[in-house]
Amino acid sequence: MVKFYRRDDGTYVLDVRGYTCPYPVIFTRKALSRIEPGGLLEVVIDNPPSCETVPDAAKSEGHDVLGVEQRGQGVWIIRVRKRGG
Amino acid sequence: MDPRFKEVLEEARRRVDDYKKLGVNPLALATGCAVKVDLERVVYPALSRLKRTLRGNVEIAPREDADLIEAPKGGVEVVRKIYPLENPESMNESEVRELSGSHVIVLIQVHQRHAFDEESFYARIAPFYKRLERSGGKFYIGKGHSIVTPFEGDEFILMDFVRVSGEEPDGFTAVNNDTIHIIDPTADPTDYRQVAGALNNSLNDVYVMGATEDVTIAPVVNAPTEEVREMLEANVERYSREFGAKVLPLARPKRGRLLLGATVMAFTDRTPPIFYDRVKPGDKVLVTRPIGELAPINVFLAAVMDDRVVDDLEEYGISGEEVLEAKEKAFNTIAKSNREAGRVIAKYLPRYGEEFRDGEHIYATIDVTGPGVYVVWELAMNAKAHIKLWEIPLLYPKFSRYATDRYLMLNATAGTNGAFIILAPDSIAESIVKDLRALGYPASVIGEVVDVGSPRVEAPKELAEYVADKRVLEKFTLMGS
Repeated sequence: MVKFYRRDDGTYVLDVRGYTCPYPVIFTRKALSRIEPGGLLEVVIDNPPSCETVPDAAKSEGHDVLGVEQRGQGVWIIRVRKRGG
Repeated sequence: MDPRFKEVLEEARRRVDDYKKLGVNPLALATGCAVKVDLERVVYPALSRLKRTLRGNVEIAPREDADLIEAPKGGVEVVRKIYPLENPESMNESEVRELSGSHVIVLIQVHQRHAFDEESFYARIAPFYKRLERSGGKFYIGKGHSIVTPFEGDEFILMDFVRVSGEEPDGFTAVNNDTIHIIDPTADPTDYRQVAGALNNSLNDVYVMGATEDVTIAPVVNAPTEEVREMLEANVERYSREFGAKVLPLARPKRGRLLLGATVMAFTDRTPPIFYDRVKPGDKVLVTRPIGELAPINVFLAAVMDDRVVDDLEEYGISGEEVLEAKEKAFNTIAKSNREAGRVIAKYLPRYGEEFRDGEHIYATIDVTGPGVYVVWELAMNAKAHIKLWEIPLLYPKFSRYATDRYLMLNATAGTNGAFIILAPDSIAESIVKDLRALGYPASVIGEVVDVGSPRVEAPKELAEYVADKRVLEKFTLMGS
């Protein structure tokens, strides 16, 4: 199941592990629409092609992709700052 | 929002919720052939490494759509073994040795985290090939198929050992395995078209070789509940009756997730089209119909998941009505068998035992599935040919463009049970197109061979509007860019 929550430090986390394309892109778009401009979103994925599609999709909508980082075997964190902050 | 579109979206959401209650989330399943492990980046390098390390008793065939076995009609039998991928020790070497002399058709379902890089994929599969080797038996890995699962604990390797009887061969039996999770995640999994599409997709690779007779199906079907599984099996039976196919009652994986497909076999009394070395400049590239049928299904899926997609589609110039129509049409296209197109291919092949005659016979064929237009590059590589594509024939160009623009698909030319690409001499190209059109296939000539010696594919620059995957695009020289 998709998890979307706000951590104590104010960062939003979208955990889409277990989902393959095109779902991570769709969930990321939905999550970004729900957070305030300038808000930070961490997308947790385990579907490797999404390491390309999620950042590309976010950039195409004007958001800042701060990085894609591997966390352990087969898990990646994509950090996105929502545009307009 | 168009009221009918709204109603259909709501119905699809209700259906998804019903399935979630059964413990399966259809929206976590890959659509159609999107489920395959990346061939270029992962599978081929891992297999090439395996080939280098295996001794002579286990041989891995070069990439073909199907394993082509010289055999008498009806003269093959299949023994199936299924092993959990995390437990190579489950493969009993002495039991396997008894199957020595078999062609082996392999289906691997691997978790997506092991499907991204060669190293990880190799580590997962190599122990099974090493055990085959250690058994001391002689095996020919004729065809492999690797798919991704998003579910931990769902990994397995299925091996179908195909043995040929001792009688004199009178043709070829083409064997293939293909499976998918689902065709349309928003439709009922028990909708007949889901199973029909999956079986068509498996058979497509043998039909494209001109093997269309004496069809045999060894299903690989799984489901979250026994009730759903029984309904899927009933659909397999219905399909086999419709096409006069034999169903083999072999073991199925028992992991409780949706999986649709089969190992399939069909016979031809012709020699299959693998005459790559006969290709020459001036030969033509044909397609049995336009490609890209997965695009509208993915676009509809996005709309089911997010209402804002509906507004976005309207701004893009795609109405709800168009989405519904295209998605239904695409689903129906996938559910329609390409067997008749295979029979047309067979008509232009040499009879078994006869010589290939230039100007009369087809050189090579390939079907357009998950890799989409990339298969033209594969054809060019096999034939070492420089191919020039005049057009990218798409069923739904607007949808493919949208799916690419919005990063819904890395390759929006992808299909399932896709069209056939045929490489044929100029002298018979129009005749093949005419035969296909007479059967209702909107076939056309889409390009030609410019030169031979080294592989190269030129394509119109708009290909970049339909493919976001840079690894695919870099194989093409885009004209006019």
